[in-house]
Amino acid sequence: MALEEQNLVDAFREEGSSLASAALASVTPRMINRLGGVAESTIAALDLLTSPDIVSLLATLQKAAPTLTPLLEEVSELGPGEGMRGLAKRISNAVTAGADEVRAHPGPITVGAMLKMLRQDPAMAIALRFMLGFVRSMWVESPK
Amino acid sequence: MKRLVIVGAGTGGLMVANFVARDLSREIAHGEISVTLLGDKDEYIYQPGFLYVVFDLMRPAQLIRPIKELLAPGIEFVHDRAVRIDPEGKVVERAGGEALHYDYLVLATGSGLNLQEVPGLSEGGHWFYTLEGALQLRDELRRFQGGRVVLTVGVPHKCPVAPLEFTMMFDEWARVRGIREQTEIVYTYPLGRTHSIPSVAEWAQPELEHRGVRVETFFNMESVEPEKKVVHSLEGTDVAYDVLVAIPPHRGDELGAVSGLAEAGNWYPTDRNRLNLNGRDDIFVLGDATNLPVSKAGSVAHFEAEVLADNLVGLLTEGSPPAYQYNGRAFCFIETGLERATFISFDYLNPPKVPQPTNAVHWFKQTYNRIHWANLKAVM
Ligand SMILES: Cc1cc2nc3c(=O)[nH]c(=O)nc-3n(C[C@H](O)[C@H](O)[C@H](O)COP(=O)(O)OP(=O)(O)OC[C@H]3O[C@@H](n4cnc5c(N)ncnc54)[C@H](O)[C@@H]3O)c2cc1C
Repeated sequence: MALEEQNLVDAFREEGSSLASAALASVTPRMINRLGGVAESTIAALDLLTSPDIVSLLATLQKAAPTLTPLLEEVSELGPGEGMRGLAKRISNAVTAGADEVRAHPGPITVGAMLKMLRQDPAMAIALRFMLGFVRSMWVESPK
Repeated sequence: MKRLVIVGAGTGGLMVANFVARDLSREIAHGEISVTLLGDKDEYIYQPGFLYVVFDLMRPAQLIRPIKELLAPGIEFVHDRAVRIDPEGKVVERAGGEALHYDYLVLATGSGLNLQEVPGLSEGGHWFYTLEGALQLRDELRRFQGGRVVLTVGVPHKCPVAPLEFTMMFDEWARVRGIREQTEIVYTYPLGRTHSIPSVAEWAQPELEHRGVRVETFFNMESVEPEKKVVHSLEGTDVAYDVLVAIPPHRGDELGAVSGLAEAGNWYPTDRNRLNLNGRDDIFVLGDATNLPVSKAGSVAHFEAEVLADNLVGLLTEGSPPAYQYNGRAFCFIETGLERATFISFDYLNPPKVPQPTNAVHWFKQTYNRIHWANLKAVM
């Protein structure tokens, strides 16, 4: 290794180790607990998000999305109570139809596909945000 | 209902309140426990930022947040001053409202400047230990084109490494502005070395020499003559200055003295491990307000707050005696210029060593300056 390269590597190592030792010297038990809590919540959320039920629900929602999108748009125009039951029925029909379709054409759902879906489809984005909010409220916000 | 009252909504007070409120959110929601934070200011100021304000590296707005935004749910914030404590009646009297009754009391009233102790200092000197002081010094430095800058240190004072940090940052700041040649820097210190901690003094001596800083030890600032621009020491030496930057001596809030609970300097006599006020098991003290032989630093208030919160949770829920002990832990960053920093970490038994300064530690400090709020809120 050339001398300059070696110097650069040594400098990086020195910077890195100084940062690590400062971090270690300043960390407190509560910070570590908190980190542990965050890691646990993340794992729990990932676990839930990748569970067969959620994956199939996502696939269902994906199939139902074309129908759901205009329906969700309608929600914003509805007054309180007005036509809610009818709307709920139509949403549930759409989801059931989507679920039937998923059962008829089973296939793997990847994270890439999920992200693509999220970007392309506002209804999916809303549904996923709801779900993540729900997971967050269950695991992250709940008092330990 | 068990009542916890915390006096002082600064670093230590906010942290204890937030730690306890987060741990006992259910009990607070069910009305079994109450947490009241009494503070005479409704804004929190991040004091370590003053050093950066002086050199135009941070704006005041970056250092200030309303207390209300920093509280965990369930804490009642009372914006008022505590004027007297009645330890027998378990009551804190307020300046402008009904007294607060407590089962457990935490005193986190910090420390303030004792300018009267050095005649002439208010008129003749600058300091960066208050926001107003930092802004005035910033304006003075914006006009500064060269001359003799003298740094003097009163004792006791918070943030023990701040005099060194200011000196090293100022040296580099003057170099960057191209006025170092026209500038003489004089660093004075009350002891026979450059810092109260021997290993820090050993490290700092050559660092100051190599920067061309003149060092005067055994210099206990006694008085200032603003007209003549001279600072006198108890030891009988005088130093003339163009700009005097002083670390004024500090003292505790008068609440302790008025209540007959504090000793000389208004510091509360505190148990070094359990942090209770000596002789009382229902009153605790943390941060700058204690008489403990530890640095008056935010990190100390933070480490103490964790221990205290754990003990308070036990007391409030089960009445169990304090099980957690504070070991004198302290951590201080040391800025060694405008781009590099080092740090010291120590406790009652282990003195610090000073590692080589690096850029990474400076960036760490810069990051900390911006995420301090997460620490205060007890979310990190
Ligand atoms: C320039 C400077 C640089 C610093 N740099 C660092 C650093 O790099 N690292 C570090 O760890 N520390 C640093 N510190 C020190 C740090 O800011 C303090 O040690 C820390 O804030 C102490 O916390 P505390 O809770 O004891 O007091 P404070 O944070 O000062 O809070 C005390 C609060 O109590 C209130 N109060 C007082 N009396 C009463 C009363 N009777 N009734 C109601 N309220 C009352 C006060 O108004 C204040 O809000 C620095 C300080 C300064 C000034």
